[in-house]
Amino acid sequence: MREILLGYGIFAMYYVLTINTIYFGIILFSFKEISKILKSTTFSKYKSLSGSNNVPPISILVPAFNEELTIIENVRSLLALHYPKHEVIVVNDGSSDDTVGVLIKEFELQYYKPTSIKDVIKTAKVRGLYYNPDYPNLYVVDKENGGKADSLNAGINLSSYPLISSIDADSLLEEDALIRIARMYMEKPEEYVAIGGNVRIANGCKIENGVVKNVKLPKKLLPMWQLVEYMKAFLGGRIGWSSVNGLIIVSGAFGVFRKDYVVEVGGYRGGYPGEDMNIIIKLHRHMLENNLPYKVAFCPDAVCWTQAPDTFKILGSQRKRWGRGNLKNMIEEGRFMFMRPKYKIMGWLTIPYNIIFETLSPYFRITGLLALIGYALMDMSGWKILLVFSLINILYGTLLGIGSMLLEEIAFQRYPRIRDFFKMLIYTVLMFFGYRQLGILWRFLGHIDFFRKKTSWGTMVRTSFNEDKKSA
Amino acid sequence: MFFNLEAAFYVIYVLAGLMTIMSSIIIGIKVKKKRTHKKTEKVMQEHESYFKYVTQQLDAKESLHVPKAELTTFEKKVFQRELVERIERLSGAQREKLIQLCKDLGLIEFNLKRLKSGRHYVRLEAAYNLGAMRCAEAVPTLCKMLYKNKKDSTRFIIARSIAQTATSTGQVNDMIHYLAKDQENNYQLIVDIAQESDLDLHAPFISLLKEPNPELTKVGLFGLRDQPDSEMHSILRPHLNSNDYDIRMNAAKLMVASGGSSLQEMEQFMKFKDEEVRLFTAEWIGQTGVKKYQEVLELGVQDENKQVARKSAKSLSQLGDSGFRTLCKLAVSNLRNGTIAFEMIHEYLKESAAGYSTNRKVADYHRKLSIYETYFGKDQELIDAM
Repeated sequence: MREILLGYGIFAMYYVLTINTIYFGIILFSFKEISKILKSTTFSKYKSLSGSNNVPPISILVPAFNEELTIIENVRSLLALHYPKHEVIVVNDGSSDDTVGVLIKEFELQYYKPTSIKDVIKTAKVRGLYYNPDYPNLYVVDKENGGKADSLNAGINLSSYPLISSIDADSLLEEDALIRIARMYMEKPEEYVAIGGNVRIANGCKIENGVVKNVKLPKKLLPMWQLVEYMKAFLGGRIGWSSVNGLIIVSGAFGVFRKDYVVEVGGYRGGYPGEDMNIIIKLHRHMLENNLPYKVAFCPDAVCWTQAPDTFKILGSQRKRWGRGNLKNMIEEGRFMFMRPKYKIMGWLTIPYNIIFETLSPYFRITGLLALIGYALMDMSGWKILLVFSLINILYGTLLGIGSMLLEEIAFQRYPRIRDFFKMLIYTVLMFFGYRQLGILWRFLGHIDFFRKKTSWGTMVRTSFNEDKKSA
Repeated sequence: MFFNLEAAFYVIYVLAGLMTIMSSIIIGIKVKKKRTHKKTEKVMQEHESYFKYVTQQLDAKESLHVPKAELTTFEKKVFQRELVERIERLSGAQREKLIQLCKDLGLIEFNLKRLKSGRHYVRLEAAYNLGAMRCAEAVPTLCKMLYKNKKDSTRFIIARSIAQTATSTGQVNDMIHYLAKDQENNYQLIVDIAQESDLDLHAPFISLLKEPNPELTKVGLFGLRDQPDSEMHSILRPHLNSNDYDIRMNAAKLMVASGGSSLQEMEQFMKFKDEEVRLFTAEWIGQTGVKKYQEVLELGVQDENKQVARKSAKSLSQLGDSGFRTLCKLAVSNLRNGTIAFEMIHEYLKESAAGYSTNRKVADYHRKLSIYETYFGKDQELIDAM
C-alpha cells in the first residue's frame, strides 16, 4: 500500500513538473517575441494614429448587470478613449439595481423603441434603446436578463462597425489601449480574427476620473497574489501561446473581434460562464475547418485595468465559475479537436494541454496530495524524496513567475521600484503555501457545480474603483 | 517509479541558478533605469533655461541657437528625445525650426551613424528619429533597411520614416509598392503611413488605380477618400463590378462622395449589392443636404436592410420641409418600412423639441409639427411626450 501511495504521489509530482516544463517552453516563446513587442510599442506612432481617419471604427460592447456603482466611471472612460471613431453600447442585462437609471440621469438619455436593433443573433427580449444626440456615440440597450453572452449578442445586433470590442463594466481601459490593438489589427486585417488585451490589477492604484494615474502594487493579500498570477498568465503565457497561434482565450475583460466571424460562428454561447474561451475555440474551429488563414493574437501593450476580488468568498465564486466554464468548453468543443491533425496547434497542443493539465489537474493534484499525506502518515522514510520534489516544484513555479517579471521589466516596467520586485517575488513563493491549493480546490468545486447543473454566477459584488482610497 | 535523488539536486541547482540570473537581470534593469532617469533629470534641470528659450523663440524670425557648451553623447540623447517629442506635436514653421535645431546640434549626423549600427533596435531608433527630423539624406539607407528588414511589425516603422523623409512622390510610390507586394489587405495602414508625407499624393494614388495588383488599387481608392473628384468617374466605374469587396465598396463610396453623380447613378448606388454602400449613400445625402437626391432616399427608406432604411429616413428628415413631408407620405403609405419612417418622424420631433434654443429652431420645429399634423392629425400623446 505504502509503495502504491508513494508511487502515485511521485506520479502526481511528475505531472506538475510536466506542466511547469511545458509552461517554461511557452515562456521561452514569449521571450522570443518580447524584443519585437518592445520595438513596435516604442516606435509606433500611436498619437498620430489615434487622430487618423484611416483607422477602422470599433463598436465597444459593455454588458452590465447590477453595475450602478462603476458604470458611469467606466462609460466616461470609454467615451474619452483616444480613438478616431468608436461607439459605446452598454447592454443592461435586466439588472435589479438602478444601472439604467443612473445612466439615463447622467447622460440625459431618451427612450426609443428598439426597432433599429437587428436580429442577427437571437437574444432575450430587448425592452428599449436609450440615446442622447449630445452623446452621439453612446447607446444603452435595456433588455431582459439573459446572461453576459446574451448581452454581448444584443450589443452585436445593434453595433454598426465591423470590429467589436467586449469590455467588462468593472474594467477601465487605458486611453490608448484600443488604438494599440487597432495598430496590430491594421497590419494584417485578413488574418486577425480576435486580439486580446492585457488585463492588469487596479487594486492599490490611484484612479481619477476613470483613469489610472499612479500605478502601485495592491496592499491586500488576495489582489497581490492575483497580480503575480495575472502577470504570469498574460505575459508569460499568452505572448507565447499567441506566437504559435495556440491562444485558447481572449479575456472577457477586454478583447477586439472581427464581427463577421463572430456572427458566422453564431455569436457568444449563452447560459454558461466561460463564454470568452468558448468564442475563441469556436473561431479556431471555424477558421481551421474552412481552411481560412487566421490568427488569434495577444497585444500586451493594450492595457485594461480591473478590480480583483479581495475576499475569499468572491474570489472563490469567480474561480469556481472559471472551473465550470473550462469544463463545459472542453466537453462542448475541446473533445472534438483533441489530437485531430486538422486542428493543427490547437488540436495537438493547446486543447490536449488544457484538458490534461488544466481541466483534469484538480483530480491529479488533489489525489496526489492525499496519496503523499497517506504515505507520510504510514512511513516517513521517503521524506527526503518528497521534500526534494516539493522544492523542485516550488522553485520551478517561482522561476516561471520570475520569468514573467523579467518580461514585464524588459518591455513595460509598470512597477519600477526595486522593492516592488521583491514584494512580487515574495508573493510568488508564498502562493505555493495555501493559495495554489485553494485555487485547485475551487476549480474542483466548480466541476461539482457543473455536474450538479448549477448555472448561476454565484457571488459577484462590485466595488467602486476608489474603494481603496475610501478605506485608507 | 523512477527517481534519482542526485539528478534532482542538479535540477535544483539549475533552477536556483536560473532564478538568480533572472533576478539579477531584473534588478540590473531597474538600477540602470533609475540611474538613467536621474541623469536625464539632471540634464533637463541644467538646460531648463535653454528649453524655455526654445519654447519662447518658436515663433520668432531668427533661427534657434545651439547651447554654448558642447553636448555629451548622453546629453544629445536627452535633447533628441525632448525635441523629437515636440516635433511630433508641432507643424509648419515651428516644426521646421526645431528640425533645423536638430541639424545644428549634430543630431542628424549622430543618427545617420546609428543607422549603420549592428543592433536592429539602434537602427530602428535612428530611423524613427530621422523620420521625425525629415532627413532627406536618410531615404536611400532607409529604403535599403526596409527591403532587408524581416516582414514583421518593424517594417511599418521604417516605412513611416521613409514617408516622412521622402522628397519625391516616386520614393513614396516605391515604398507603397513594396508594402503592398504581399497583398495582406492592409491598405488602410499603408495609406496612413503614406499620408505621413508632406508631399501631394493625389497623382500617385490615381496612378495606383490602374495597377494590376488589387492591393495597390485599394491603396489608391482609400487614399483618394479625402479628395473625391467627379473627373475620376471614368477610372472608378470599372471597379464597381470588381469581385473584391473592398475595391467595389471604396470605388462606389468615392463616386458618391464626389457629388458629381447623376440621379440615375445615385439610384444605382442605393440599389448596390453591398449594404455599406447603400448606408454611405443615405448618410452622405443627409449630411450634404443635396435635395435633388431626395428620390434616392425614398428608395432607401424601402430598403430590405433596416439600418439602410433608418439612415435614409433620418437623412430625409434632414432635407428640410420637403424631405420631412416625403417622410410623412412614406409613413402613411402601404410601402415597406412605413413604421420605420413613422418612428423616425417621432424621433426627429422629439429631438428637435428637446434641443430648440434658438428662434430658428423653434420655427423649424413648429413648421415640421404642422406638416406632421397634416398627415396624422393632432397627436396629444406625442406633444405631451415632448
